Amino acid sequence: MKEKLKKLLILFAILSTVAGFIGTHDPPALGWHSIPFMDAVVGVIGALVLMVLIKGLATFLSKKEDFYD
Amino acid sequence: MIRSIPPAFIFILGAFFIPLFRGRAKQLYLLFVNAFVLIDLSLLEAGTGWVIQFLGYDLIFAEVDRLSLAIAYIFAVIGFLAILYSLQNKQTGEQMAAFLYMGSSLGVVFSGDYLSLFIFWEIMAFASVFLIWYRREKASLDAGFRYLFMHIFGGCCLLTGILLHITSTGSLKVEPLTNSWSSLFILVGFGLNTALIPLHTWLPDAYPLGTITGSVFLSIFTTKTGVYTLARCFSGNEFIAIMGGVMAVYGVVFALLQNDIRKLISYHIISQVGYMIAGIGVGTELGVNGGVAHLINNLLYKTLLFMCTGSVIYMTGRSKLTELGGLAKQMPVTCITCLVASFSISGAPGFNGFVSKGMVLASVLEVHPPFLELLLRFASVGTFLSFIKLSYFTFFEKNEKIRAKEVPWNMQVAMIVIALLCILIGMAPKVLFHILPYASVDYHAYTSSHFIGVLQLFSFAGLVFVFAKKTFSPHQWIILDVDYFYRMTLRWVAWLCMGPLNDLRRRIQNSLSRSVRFLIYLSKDPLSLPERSAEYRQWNREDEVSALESIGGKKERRYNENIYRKPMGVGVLLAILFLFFYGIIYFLK
Repeated sequence: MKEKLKKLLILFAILSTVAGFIGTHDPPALGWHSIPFMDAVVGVIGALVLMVLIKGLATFLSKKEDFYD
Repeated sequence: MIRSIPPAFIFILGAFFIPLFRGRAKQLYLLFVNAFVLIDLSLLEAGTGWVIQFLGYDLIFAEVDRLSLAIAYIFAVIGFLAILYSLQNKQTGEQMAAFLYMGSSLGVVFSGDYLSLFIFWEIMAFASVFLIWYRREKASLDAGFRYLFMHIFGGCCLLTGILLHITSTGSLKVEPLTNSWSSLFILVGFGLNTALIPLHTWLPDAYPLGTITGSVFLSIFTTKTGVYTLARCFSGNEFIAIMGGVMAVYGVVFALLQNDIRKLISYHIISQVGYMIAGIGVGTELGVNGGVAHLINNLLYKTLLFMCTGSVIYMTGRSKLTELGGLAKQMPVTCITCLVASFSISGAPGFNGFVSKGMVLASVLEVHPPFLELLLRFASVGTFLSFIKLSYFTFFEKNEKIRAKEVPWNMQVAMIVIALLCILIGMAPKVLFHILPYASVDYHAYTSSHFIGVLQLFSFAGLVFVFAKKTFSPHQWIILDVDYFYRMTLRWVAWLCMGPLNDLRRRIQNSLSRSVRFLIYLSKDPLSLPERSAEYRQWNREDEVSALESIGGKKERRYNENIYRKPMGVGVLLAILFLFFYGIIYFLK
């Protein structure tokens, strides 16, 4: 299951990146909208930032389940 | 011609007849009332109706326009499906609370004045808390009280704002508000229901502890009426727009840290409400349409998510991701509908979230700096990761210990219908566009850049999840939120009240009691006051003890109450007689 999911995601990642280069674009509202793989970058960086963020928050904010009891 | 009545009254009156029915008849009655409300809504005409004069003000119970109708329709449809889902529920009190809650929510939507809005607002708060308490566990009872206290605070702020608004403008009409003290208080009142940060803590605290069906109802109405009121009164407010972006991110970050499935979804309510109010805060026609469209879509997939997680808890008795897993084959309908809801909330192409998230993002790009757009895109990544986590660890992660079967037919039907609606709106968004407040707005959801962008975002974020699954794995912990400060502050206040302040009160009370006792003692024999004063002066010269003894001895010897009763009685009698004769003379004259 996990392997299939991984392969599927890799396939989608490749296809969507290629499509970003050949697809038509809306008029860019901001500079970075004209970069064809910008959303891929946002996806990766966003996920990595979230990983770091939840690691950090978990260190400070995680408590035992009966903390308030 | 048939004249429709405000749908709120149908639910509120209908609630009181629920105890008269039993078994199948009760189930039919619940569905019938909902169906009746839907028919009634179709008969409502645009304009102002059901106006009642009260203390010189107009109370408007049916202010009907495209916005209120759009929200009311989705409330009624989802309410019907939630009732269908909850037919197994045998608790009459909970069903009454659900009806009162639905009715008062519709009351808020159609209120044309702040006073009737406030009344329905409070009925909502007090009815909805029973959906938590009916779980009959200590944790639910405590969470219910916290929920109620927060909402009472919000209600007080709202009432203060309304009174200030009436004082300054002389008007009760619900209308867009400008910056003033009254609007600040009203914003806090509305904002608490909308779960604006840091007023949001009641939501992830109480919703996971409601009954299985109660949480489904809770997820539908409270925050959405809050969003609706913000759309009515604070559309185009920049603070609201930025708050929307902050909420969207805050919700997903905390959702990713949760172990309880309903708590995870509760945090996503905050995040999704963020998208809605970002659109409303932008305030353009596209922004308001996007916010309302996202509200409607969110009602569908969020209700579906609460139904799916409720079904999992109903059949397994477990709500922690660390204890779940392997349910995909055992509960296929729940699994598939949960996946539909997950794709919808993530905004995947082909599902309803794709349409409304696109509208909100497009509206943000029209007006605001890139900061808000980045926040919303970042939140999209987090939403997708959260729901991969939820679906994976609930349905696909190996767990040999767990045994479950699919939920009863009525629960399945409700979930399937909502899942189909999510797909229908995703595939044919014009169905949604027809009911939005601004009919003239032209938006194309399926542009190639939007479609490809979302695919890129999800596939790359998904790959990060697959390669770093351990980081996103659930743990048996709780994560402290802002409510930690509330709880600690309240504990400190409780200590201050019970310790130092109570001690101070006791000291003041004792000294006052001594003074009062002394005055009572003096008042028993006021004629002896000059004599006593002379004796007190003597204390300075003589031994204190002997002086007191002499006073006490004289009092025992001399004092006789009856000596003073007679002249007082004569005095009172004379006063009454005087008044009597005065009265006779006055009337004869």
